[in-house]
Amino acid sequence: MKVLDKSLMNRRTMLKASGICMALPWMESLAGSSSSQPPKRFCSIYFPYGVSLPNQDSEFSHWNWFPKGEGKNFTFNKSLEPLNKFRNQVTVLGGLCHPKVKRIGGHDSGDTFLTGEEMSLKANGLKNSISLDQFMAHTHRLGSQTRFSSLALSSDGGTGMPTRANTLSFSNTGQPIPSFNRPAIVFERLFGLSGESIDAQRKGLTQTGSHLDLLLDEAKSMHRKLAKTDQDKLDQYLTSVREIEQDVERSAQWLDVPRPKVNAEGLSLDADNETPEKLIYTMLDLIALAFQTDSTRFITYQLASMHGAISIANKFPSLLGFPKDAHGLAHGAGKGVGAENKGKWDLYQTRCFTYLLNRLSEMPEDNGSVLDNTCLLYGSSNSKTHNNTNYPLVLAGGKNMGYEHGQYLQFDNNTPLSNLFVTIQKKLGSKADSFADSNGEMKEVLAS
Amino acid sequence: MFKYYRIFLLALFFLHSIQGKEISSVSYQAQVLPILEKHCIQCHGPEKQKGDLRFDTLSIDFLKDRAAAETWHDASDQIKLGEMPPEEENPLSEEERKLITEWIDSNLEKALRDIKGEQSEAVIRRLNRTEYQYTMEDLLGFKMDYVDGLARDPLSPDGFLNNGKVLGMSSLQIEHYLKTARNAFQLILNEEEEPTVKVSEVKWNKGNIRGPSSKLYVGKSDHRLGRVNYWHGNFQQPPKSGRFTIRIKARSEKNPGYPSPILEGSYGFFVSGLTLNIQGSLPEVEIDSNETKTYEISSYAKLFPMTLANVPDDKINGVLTFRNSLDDGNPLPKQLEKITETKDKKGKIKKKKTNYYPEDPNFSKIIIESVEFVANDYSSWPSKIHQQIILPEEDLNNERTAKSVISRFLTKAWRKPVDSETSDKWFQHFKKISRDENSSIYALRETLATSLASTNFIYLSELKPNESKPSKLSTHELAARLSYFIWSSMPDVELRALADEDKLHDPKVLAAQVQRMMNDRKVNRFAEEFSKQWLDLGGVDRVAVNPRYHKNFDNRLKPYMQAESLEFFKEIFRKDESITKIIDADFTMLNARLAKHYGLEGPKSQRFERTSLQGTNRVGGILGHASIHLSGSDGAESHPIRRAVWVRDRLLHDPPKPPPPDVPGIEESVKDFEKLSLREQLEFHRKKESCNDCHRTLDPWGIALEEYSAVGLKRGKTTVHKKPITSDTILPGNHPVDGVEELQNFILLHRKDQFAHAICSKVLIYALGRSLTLEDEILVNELKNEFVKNRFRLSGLLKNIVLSETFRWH
Repeated sequence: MKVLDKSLMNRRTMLKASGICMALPWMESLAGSSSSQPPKRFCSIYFPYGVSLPNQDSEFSHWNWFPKGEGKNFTFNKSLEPLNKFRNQVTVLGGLCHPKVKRIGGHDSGDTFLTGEEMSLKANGLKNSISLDQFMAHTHRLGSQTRFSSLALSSDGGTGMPTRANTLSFSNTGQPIPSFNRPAIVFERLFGLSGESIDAQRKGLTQTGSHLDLLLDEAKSMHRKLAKTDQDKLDQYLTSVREIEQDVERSAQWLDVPRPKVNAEGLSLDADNETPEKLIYTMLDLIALAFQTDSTRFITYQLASMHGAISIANKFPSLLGFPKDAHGLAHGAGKGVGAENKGKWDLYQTRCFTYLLNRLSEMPEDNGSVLDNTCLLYGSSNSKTHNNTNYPLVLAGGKNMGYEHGQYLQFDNNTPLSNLFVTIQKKLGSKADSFADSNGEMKEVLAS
Repeated sequence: MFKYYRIFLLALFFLHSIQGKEISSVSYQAQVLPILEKHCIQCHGPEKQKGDLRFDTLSIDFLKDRAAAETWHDASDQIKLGEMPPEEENPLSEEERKLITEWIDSNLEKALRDIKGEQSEAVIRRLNRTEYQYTMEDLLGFKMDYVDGLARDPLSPDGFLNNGKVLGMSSLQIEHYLKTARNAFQLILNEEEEPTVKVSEVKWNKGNIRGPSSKLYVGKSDHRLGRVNYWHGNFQQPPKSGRFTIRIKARSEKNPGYPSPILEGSYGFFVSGLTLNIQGSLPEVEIDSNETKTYEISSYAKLFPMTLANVPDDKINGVLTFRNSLDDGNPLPKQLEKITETKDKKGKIKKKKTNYYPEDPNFSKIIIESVEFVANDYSSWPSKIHQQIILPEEDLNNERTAKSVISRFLTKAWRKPVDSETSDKWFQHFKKISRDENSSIYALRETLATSLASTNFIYLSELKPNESKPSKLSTHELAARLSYFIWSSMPDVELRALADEDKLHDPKVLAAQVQRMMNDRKVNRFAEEFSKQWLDLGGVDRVAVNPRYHKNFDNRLKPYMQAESLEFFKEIFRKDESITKIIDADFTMLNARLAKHYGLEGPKSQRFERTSLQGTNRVGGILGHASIHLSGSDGAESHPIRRAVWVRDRLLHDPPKPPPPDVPGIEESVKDFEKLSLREQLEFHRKKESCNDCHRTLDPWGIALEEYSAVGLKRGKTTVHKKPITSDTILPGNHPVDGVEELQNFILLHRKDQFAHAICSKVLIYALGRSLTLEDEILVNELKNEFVKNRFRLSGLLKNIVLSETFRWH
């Protein structure tokens, strides 16, 4: 294994091996049932500006992102070729989009990739709605059994601005959830040792808990004196404090469970925006490790946002020796050698995604691998730049949840992508029958 | 970006001339409509809606339909700037132009005055990253990195970082505030027992630096630091906490007329047996004398990396490295080989090859004689910063004293008086922790840290008694607004005292305060923050220079490019020169490396100095800065559209509309499109009607800058396709210009007023922490007229903004 301590398998194997009989939380939840089921996970990886789509009759047609053929009879073109190794673990989806988002600006749709709703203008600015990962992790409490309910990652970090968010995750009030973009911080959060004794940590948490009461109290008394729009603004603070309260409770519950021992050697935790390849692969390693150690079951990762003027990640292709930045490649993709240039970048991104599939598939879990218990959605909210229809999408993994792969499915452009979200959330264990503008389920991706 | 985000605020040249006049006598039906039908409806009517506009159905109720009012406003501006109707159409006659603009302008002004005060745009806003950093520094009197790990702030639609609407809150941030304040108080508030001072000699180590940090060092470990080589030493048992001082006995070796060398150190630890040095950097020190002197650097152990692993103390070594960071812009010397002959025991001559770097006799060197490390070095105990919070005579174990310590701190931290009920609540919190944990100092740390995660600290709150009616800010709110505007931080003692005495709304007092604040060094924060955001200097970081086309480009230049523009603005601002120098000046700010890049004679160190451009081939003003050229490029080739958008948005406050959704790509209809230069591509673009509507008035602003490459150098040919540069173009209103100098002249001659209006708008947006609305137009125009009269001095503009009702009321 590339980055894991040799002595370490996955967390449950490790515990078994050391002879410690410790109930893992997801086992607790199943107390009474005779067989323990492996965790079910979700991960979404997003890239901006769509893909290369040269005409089928042009000399560069092999750079068209979508496969040739359809159903089970399809062949990958060049951009998705690395997925061949996982042909039976992936489904390529064509034709889908968020219909409500069609009418907004071509570069404005990134925020809605996992929310599916057209953003609405409120007194405090543009407002989004809850994203799929948060809907499952929080609203349906599917993330309540791990140390962290969810994790948002990106290359730029923070929240960004409306229509150019630097995160795919939005809370139930539509607030962007700040994403992490520094591997060292992600690692520290997931696996770091605080160096303090458990008692000291517990004392700290109790202390924090009592501080939060005081902070809430103070905020509420300010809230009463504010004008309406300001009250809305302060609600964000109140919600955040309540979230910390829950985190504190959760951390207290997890104090006695030792953090998984993960060896940082081999991980380029110092990677940053100037070393994109290191950065992306380290983030993917961290995703794999977070899943393997069952530290969280919901992860989103935005490779870049659609804002040349704000996104630092826009320059990644140039740093990696591509002729233009991400925005520039997308704009030149329409014809000629531009289609090839963009196609090569699409291929690069596919390789990154495939790397993650590979990592997950090499992590044994029960009779299969972590990949078999993880549903991944890879794609973009543009087909080509400025165009909010026909999203390029790959659904992968999650065999144990009942997905049927090895297909290229094409839909008409009125099928809401949210239908897929309904199927994903149901397969992960939520009871909700709808999501955003869904009008049904997408049974085509399931084994019959 | 969404259309409703944009507020069209172009120059309104008219408001003053027609103030007080009744609503226009011009009739829409009889006079305006026929002109629209004759000149406008053809393109903006039932058949075509160029720019997504039609005038035949546009509401003429300026009061009720704000969107329509803004569209009319925009139309009036375009007509006045000669941008509409387009050149190829029949021009408006002088009389038609007058009729239509007078009708729009007078209706607009009437509407503006009627709605003034009805709506309030302001929202409470949280401190942004920079404001949080400066506030913590100023409040605690303690410098450290308070924002490490705090997410970047979102930019507002106008490109600013202090917009209340856009600045959100999340649990991660509150966790950060709490954690950071706890860390800081642990360093600031001392335990009762005074630790003992321990002095260790730092032994010079002739071995090489190992581990990842070795990349940063060239040469070998030595006492003599020139362009290469470093000093490397270690000592036992580095402290895990407390303040330390590093004492360096050193001298420089510099020739007259050359700059002093600069000592750059880093401090950390290594574990015996491992090969890794883990270090953090220390503040730089200028070694300013050829005589031996002792230089001191103090900091706190907790601010540096410390091993968490279970390693016995005697295995952990402190490690210090120093080098000479003077940068005169010259490259490092090439390594040479020399052969030395030595005789072995038997008298046999042995030849040995060694590598060395030749020394430059003119490069100022540092000679390090000895280094000492002093652990627990406090000039007083408890430390001075401790004593600012708990006065020397105060005993925390006395309840009344503890209560007054807390209430005094809250009042200062929260920038307003704190009532006794509130301070009692916080005191009770302190008391409980103190009792539970049996430590009053621990309880105080926890209590005060919590107060710095409170809404009262994090938000600049302005409580409004009546939502719909404008009211004066309280004096403490005004003090805070003022100090965040000019200092990016909390009010100081004097401002607080004036607020306490309720004197701040007095215009004379207020004006005197602005003057005082501008004489304070902290005003540099305004210059830095405002110029970075206004000029979007962060753009440089978002572009990677493509080494294929810019061989040997030195990435160290990028921060220097940003610094040139920032220092340039600062120089104009601090010397109170005319802001029109942003457009054209006979100087710029350079350091050694950047001057070399431009091919100019300049300063001899990394410090930026005012450098005359007279007699050189570089133009003055921001349009000659590499920062703008690089941001307006894709790293290989210039990007005229990005540059044009920048000029329109940042210098003229007239950003173009974003491209509509689903615009067809031009590249699909033109053969070999990708082989054309961007400029040629743009020409095709403009030939296509749907593109031409917007690009006609956009592209020329960027084409005029074509003579500069992506990295800001003059060029005769394009970088990628090697085609001759053409920088002649026709600006809107049929003004031909060729190159940057003619563009500068054009702006100064024809768009000076629009530029003044733009500056006034941008500074006002920054001062208020919100976007402007149509209602603010009246103030912007008053500010602009004063600004022009005052010969474009920013000092006067800042003062007038602070004195305005918009700033003092909400």
